[in-house]
Amino acid sequence: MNAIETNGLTKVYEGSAVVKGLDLRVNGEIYGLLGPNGSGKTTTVNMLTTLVRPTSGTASVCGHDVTKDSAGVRRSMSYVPQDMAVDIRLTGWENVELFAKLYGIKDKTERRERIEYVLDIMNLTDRAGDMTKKYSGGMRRRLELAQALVHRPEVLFLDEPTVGLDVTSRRSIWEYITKLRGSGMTIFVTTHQMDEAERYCDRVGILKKGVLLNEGTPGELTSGLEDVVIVRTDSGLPRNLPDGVTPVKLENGEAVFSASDGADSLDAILDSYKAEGGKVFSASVRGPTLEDVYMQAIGPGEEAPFDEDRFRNMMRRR
Amino acid sequence: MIYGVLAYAQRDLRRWIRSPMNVISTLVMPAAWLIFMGVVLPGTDKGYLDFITPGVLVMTMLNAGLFGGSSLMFDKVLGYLDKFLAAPTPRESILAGKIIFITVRGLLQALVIQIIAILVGATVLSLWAYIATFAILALFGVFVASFGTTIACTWESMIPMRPPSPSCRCLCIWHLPLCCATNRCRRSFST
Ligand SMILES: Nc1ncnc2c1ncn2[C@@H]1O[C@H](COP(=O)(O)OP(=O)(O)OP(=O)(O)O)[C@@H](O)[C@H]1O
Ligand SMILES: [Mg+2]
Repeated sequence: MNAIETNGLTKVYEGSAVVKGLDLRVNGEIYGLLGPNGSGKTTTVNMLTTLVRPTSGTASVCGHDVTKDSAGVRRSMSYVPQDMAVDIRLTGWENVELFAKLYGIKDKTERRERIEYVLDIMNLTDRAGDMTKKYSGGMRRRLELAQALVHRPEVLFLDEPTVGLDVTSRRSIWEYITKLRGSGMTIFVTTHQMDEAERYCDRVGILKKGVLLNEGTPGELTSGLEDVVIVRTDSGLPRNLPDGVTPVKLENGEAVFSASDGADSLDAILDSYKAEGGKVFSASVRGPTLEDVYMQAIGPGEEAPFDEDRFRNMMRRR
Repeated sequence: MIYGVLAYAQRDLRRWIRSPMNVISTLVMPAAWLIFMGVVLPGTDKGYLDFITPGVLVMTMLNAGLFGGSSLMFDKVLGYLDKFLAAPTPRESILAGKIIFITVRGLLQALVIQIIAILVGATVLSLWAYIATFAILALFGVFVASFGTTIACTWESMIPMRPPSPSCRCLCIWHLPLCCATNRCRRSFST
């Protein structure tokens, strides 16, 4: 049995398919769903967490079908939505207590122990008695994780867990997540942070307009790409490029090339510049990253449709 | 089920109590209204105060119930509802908890009004009359609150819940006649 399994999962909103025929198998790992704004990440998570009914296809969480046995799904998973929602007029403790009760932990001592435990691992014990109004964004995120963890779910859904957090908070959130995976939990995250996904996810899937383009471990995905050579120069691209080197772009005096063997090609590229009298200020080589894979899959300039109302609102606020 | 309902109701009551402004405004406003109508307006006497108190009680409950629905809409807009809907507690208990909260809050308002009415000179009735009054007010409150939350549910059809669940509809039907009887009942008890 797969912890998460979908077959041809599809959601149609107002005539347009937002998620198209998704086939996922996720098990005892951190699975990262990547994709630009509006690509259908949240919609996918909402279908898996029984908040939205799939238009067609099937999905199951821990063997429970999301439409036929939605109660079973809700019993075996926890969900932390994209938009933070902690009750600011309740204390940290009370926020967690509410969810402990909703998850049906009726025994008083057990409930207290579990709340104390999750607050402790999320590092919130000192501030548990404070109103959450006084919490910072990072603390609120950790509190939401604590809420999600009180009932020891088998599967945890996190929709953009690190958005709006500073470097240290991000890292500690990912470290908690990694620890949970170590204890056997399956974790399904969505994120825009390529570096984080590359570092912490066991497998990632890249979603574009509701279609899964690429799937695999970050290592598998990047191994298909060539090294990247970046040269800062004031003389553009050399006229004669060495064999096996492809120019990628030239921007702000920075020429980017891709090549199968970065170190060798770097020398060759520098030689070309020298032969043509071009000036090179600095040069560097790096291996392909998940971001390169992502950019190649998504393509440049793919953005969500421009939201005019929102833009007007922003203008008015100035 | 019951457990989840109480958890939701407790959450709402806590949130409400934590905001002193809210408590004061919901408790004081109707009372101020009563004093204004019953005492300050020229040409009013004790009889008039006795006459309007039940009306103000019922109107308070009606108001509390109908506006109580907005509390559900806030939960939705602020994203709490998504988390509740993804929790294993039966989804109906979200509604039931709201209805309990709204009714309790309305009853507290009514109690304050009743006490103030007595303080400013309304006729003191028998204990049974008060018990009957508040029992009926509670039923009425449940009815109006069901109505208010149902409206809140259907307002934007995005809430994935079958709005009037069968249990909710039953409540509505058998409370309807009771709500019409409130004033009559109180009068027959007092005379
Ligand atoms: N309730 C809805 N009704 C109609 N369309 C919707 C609804 N919810 C989402 N959509 C549309 O579905 C598409 C995918 O939305 P979704 O929220 O899943 O994207 P996302 O990948 O989570 O984006 P982001 O990274 O911005 O969170 C968007 O074009 C959005 O406008
Ligand atoms: Mg999203």
